[in-house]
Amino acid sequence: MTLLLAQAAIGTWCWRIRRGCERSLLAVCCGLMLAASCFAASDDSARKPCRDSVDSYLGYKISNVRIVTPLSIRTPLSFLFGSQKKLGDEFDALLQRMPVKKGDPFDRAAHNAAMEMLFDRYAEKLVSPGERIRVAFTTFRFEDCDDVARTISISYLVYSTEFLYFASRIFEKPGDQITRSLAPGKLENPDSLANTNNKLLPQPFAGYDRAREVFGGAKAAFNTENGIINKVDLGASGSANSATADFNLAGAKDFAAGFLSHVDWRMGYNYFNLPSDPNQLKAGTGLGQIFGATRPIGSHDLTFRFGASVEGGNRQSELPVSITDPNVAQQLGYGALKAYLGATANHDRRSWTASYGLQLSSDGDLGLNYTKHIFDAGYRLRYLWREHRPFRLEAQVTAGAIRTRGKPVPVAERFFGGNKVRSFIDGDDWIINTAPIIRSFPQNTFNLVGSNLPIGGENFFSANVTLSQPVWNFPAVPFQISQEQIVRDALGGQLRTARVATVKSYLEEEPGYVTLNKALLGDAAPSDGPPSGNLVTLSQAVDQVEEKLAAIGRQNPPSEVSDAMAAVSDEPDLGADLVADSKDAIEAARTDTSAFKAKVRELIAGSNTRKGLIIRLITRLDNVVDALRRAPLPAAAQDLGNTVSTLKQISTSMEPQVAKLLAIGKVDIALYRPVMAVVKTDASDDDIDGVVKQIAATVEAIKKRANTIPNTGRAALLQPADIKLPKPLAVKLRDGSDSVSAFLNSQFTQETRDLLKAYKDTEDPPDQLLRALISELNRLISGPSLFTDDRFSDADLTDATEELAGSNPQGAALIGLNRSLLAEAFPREISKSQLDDALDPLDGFVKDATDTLSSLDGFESSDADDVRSAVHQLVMGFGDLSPAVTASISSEVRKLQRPLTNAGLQTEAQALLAENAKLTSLQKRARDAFNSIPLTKLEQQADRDIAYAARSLDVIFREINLVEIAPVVTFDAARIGPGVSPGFGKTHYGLGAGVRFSIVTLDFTAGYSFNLNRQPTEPRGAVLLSMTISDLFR
Amino acid sequence: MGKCKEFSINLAVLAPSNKRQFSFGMMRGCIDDNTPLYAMIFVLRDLINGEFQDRVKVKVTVGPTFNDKAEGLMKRGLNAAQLDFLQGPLTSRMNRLNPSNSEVADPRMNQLGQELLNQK
Repeated sequence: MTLLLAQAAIGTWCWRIRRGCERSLLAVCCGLMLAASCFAASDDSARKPCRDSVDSYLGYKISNVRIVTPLSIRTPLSFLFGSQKKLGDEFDALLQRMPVKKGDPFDRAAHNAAMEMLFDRYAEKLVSPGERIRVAFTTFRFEDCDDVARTISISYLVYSTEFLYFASRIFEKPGDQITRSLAPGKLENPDSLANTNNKLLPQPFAGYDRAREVFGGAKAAFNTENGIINKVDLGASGSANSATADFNLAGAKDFAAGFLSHVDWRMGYNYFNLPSDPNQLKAGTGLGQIFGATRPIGSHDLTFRFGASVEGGNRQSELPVSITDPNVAQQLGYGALKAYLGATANHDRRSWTASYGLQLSSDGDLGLNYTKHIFDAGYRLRYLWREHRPFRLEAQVTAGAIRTRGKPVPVAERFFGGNKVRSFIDGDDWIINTAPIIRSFPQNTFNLVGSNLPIGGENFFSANVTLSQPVWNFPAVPFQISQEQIVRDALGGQLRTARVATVKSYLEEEPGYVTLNKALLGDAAPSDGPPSGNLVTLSQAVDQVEEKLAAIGRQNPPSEVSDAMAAVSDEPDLGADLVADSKDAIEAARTDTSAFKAKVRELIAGSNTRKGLIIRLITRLDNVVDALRRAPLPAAAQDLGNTVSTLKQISTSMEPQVAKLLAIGKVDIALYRPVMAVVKTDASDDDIDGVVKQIAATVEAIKKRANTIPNTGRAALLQPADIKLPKPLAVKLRDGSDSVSAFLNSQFTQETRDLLKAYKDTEDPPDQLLRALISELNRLISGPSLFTDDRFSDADLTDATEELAGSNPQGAALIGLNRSLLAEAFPREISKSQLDDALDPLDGFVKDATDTLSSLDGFESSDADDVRSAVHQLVMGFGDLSPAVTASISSEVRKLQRPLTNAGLQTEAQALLAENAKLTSLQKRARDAFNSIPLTKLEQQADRDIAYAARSLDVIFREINLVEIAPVVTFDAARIGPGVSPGFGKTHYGLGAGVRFSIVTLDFTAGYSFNLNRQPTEPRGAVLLSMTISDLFR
Repeated sequence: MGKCKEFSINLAVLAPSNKRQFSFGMMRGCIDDNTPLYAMIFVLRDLINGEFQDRVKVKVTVGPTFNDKAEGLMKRGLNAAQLDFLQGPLTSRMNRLNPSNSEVADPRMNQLGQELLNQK
């Protein structure tokens, strides 16, 4: 409610304010927004910290269970957004069904089942056409953990691209939809949250502008499914000195293929009566309009937009002075033909727009009175120098000119500047600004071209820059999740899977595929001669096999025959029922287009782990025939043998066609040779494989030396931070449940044993006990050797530790041995060393790289898509969202420099740096080679689809905030002309500052812009108050 | 996160024709704090008479023996052969066991799940 109250307060308060009160208004706005942000953030404040270990909370009473999504955030505006509520209701219903219940003791089985329900939800859920690709990530966190009361709360966390889709769609300007590289399409599911058909969508709004003062109004839209007119829009707003109204009937059509992606049309009427201190501008316009947009082109999603309108109406103004200029009219009829062309492009977090508009106008009669030319261009940049803290730059340049033809131009058609955009075609989705923007002037009040002559300009120019930098934010995905490596890696894996699936999907539309599909289905004309190889003849042959096996079964054959037949119905090793499975596969291939290729492959070609069903069936049937001959049942053997021969003929004749089918869309592996020459080659070690091996060897050498390194290595005594799980450690040492624990307990002082005895495992070990344990363990670590074969027989010791144990170490090496023995005997509870902890991430990445490089062994015989995925994972990745493994190795090597140097391992640090330099250079070469691989058209299409999904995920995991506060600086320069008196027609400058408060994609900005070169009759400045939507998808 | 923390990641792709949806998800469950277990779910749906209907629905569990491979698959993604294997032998087995239920305890399914990891 805070923001609602804030708006109400602003509204009430604003009625009372007049000029000069803006600063107070700004302060109030900022304060209230801050309060609202605190409200929004309170969702996660003041939680008691919890441990990572799930096991340590088994049996705790569950005090609360909830499902948290980015849209769970409660804002005072929530009531406006039905989809948010509907989504919330859906999760509430799911929560009711989950086996984890408030008041129950926590147990892993119920918890895993709850996680599985969320997992299944996204496997079940349909994707809307607008989404195209959805990625959902679910996990959980404990909250309010109370070890005394033994209670916990559990939040199941769901992060999905669908939320951004909803969030963006809720607030989105219609024109933004087209710039997305999405498939437009009709929503089939009437329950879809994104389906707004047949729903009235009201949108009340209120605001303050110094010219209009406090104003309020509402917009409403109603969409229908069919017909030429499928949308009705109306809106109205008013204040003490102004009024606006519009009504539109609109229709639209989206195209799935071709150059055009979207066309819409509109008929409408709009009216405005707006102050232009001391002027008043009025206009009523009826119009018919058409608008189109092309499909995005190229890697920058270049999209062209075009439109035209025919307009008629009137233009009026109320000037306090009389006009003597014959080229200017206070009141005049209005007719116009407008046309425009625009383009947008975006790349990474930058976007560009540019538009040109031409207006041919008359006074309502036929004939041309004047022409208007408009140029408008913009640039938007979000520079993510730090995750969730994007620096934003918005720049806009606009210019316009009216060319008269000896006839008057109505005042309302001239250029009036101020802090509001005026659209080239009112109500159009594509906004081309036609007014000089200078935010230090209220709407329409930048209008003087001469002394006491507020009639606007015949030409104008304006340039605007807005800079902002968040200083406080609450990320949509908490850092402890978004920074988890496996999460980032899994996102990359899913995007690579999406590419493979998308290419496969496009492939099924290829003419060559369709032809083979028809031939294999048996739709092609039958040929003479031996049975043609297709699914019809195959089905008949398998049916015959089934009948003949049944007939043999009825004869009660000897056990040798029965055994051979049993191997057909329950194949040894693989467990298939070869006849039934073949029949099902044939049926699926004939009826399910999407399964056709997979089923034909299963039937005929098989895979690298199992041969095709038919080949396996033939082999087993041959065994039956042999058994029948030996029985002896020669007639049955002959009969079945004939059917098997037919089956073989059909299978053999299908094989080449199936091979062709499987080859469609396959990329020549030779294309990957250049990149593989850098990644992994037998010719030399000067490749990524060689460097990774070298880094792995250096890491191993460091680990080996870690046994003797004091302070940070294993020769360091235990620190409290080295005890990862104090509770289980204390329990083990108290109970002496294994030989090592029992020995250690026996070596402790009586005082420590008493502390252990008094310890109850319902609570965390008290500090006194922990201190005592660390002290005792450090005494034992210092020597003599703890190792005996019997004592550590149950521990999983590493070879290095066993080797060290056998070498009678002394001094630091002895400490290293004892510390390693403890860490390996209690792997969950005690960390090996700080140095080992620092090395772990690099070790993990090196292991990933090694595994990936192993998968590239003998790449020449691999499928290109396999090689592509492996190389992509290794050297390409998806930017900072899911970096390439080699990039992660480089990053970790850099991070390790200080810990290694502190540990006295300068030589190893230098060696790693040198290897890393080689790796970085090789990675660049590999990337260049990878990017040079020519892509098929299908791959290009799929890459465009995936790029959109990757961008969305990148925004969710690295950029978007639930709430954000950012200081804003604005700078404007604007001029209207020509000046008709000395001192007029010059450029004015405005400099402003304010605060932007954002909820997901909805930005509220409040501030003040100062008029830097103020003239006597001009305002000192103007309040900045705006509500805009940032399109994070661009 | 600790050594093993449960999470899942799901991908759904709607074909350009808007008539087919493919979903693939992987879930990491935990037997205890140190022992993960991976589950995969694969669903293929076609638009039939204005409604999406399941064509294929397969769920398999892998681990703990093959956890490393499952984690590798999670990081690298499925290849085309694995997609075909999901739609081919895995679906056949699932349909044979119980066409209406994707969750069936069957040692052969586990075997197929492990084979899936090795498809090239």
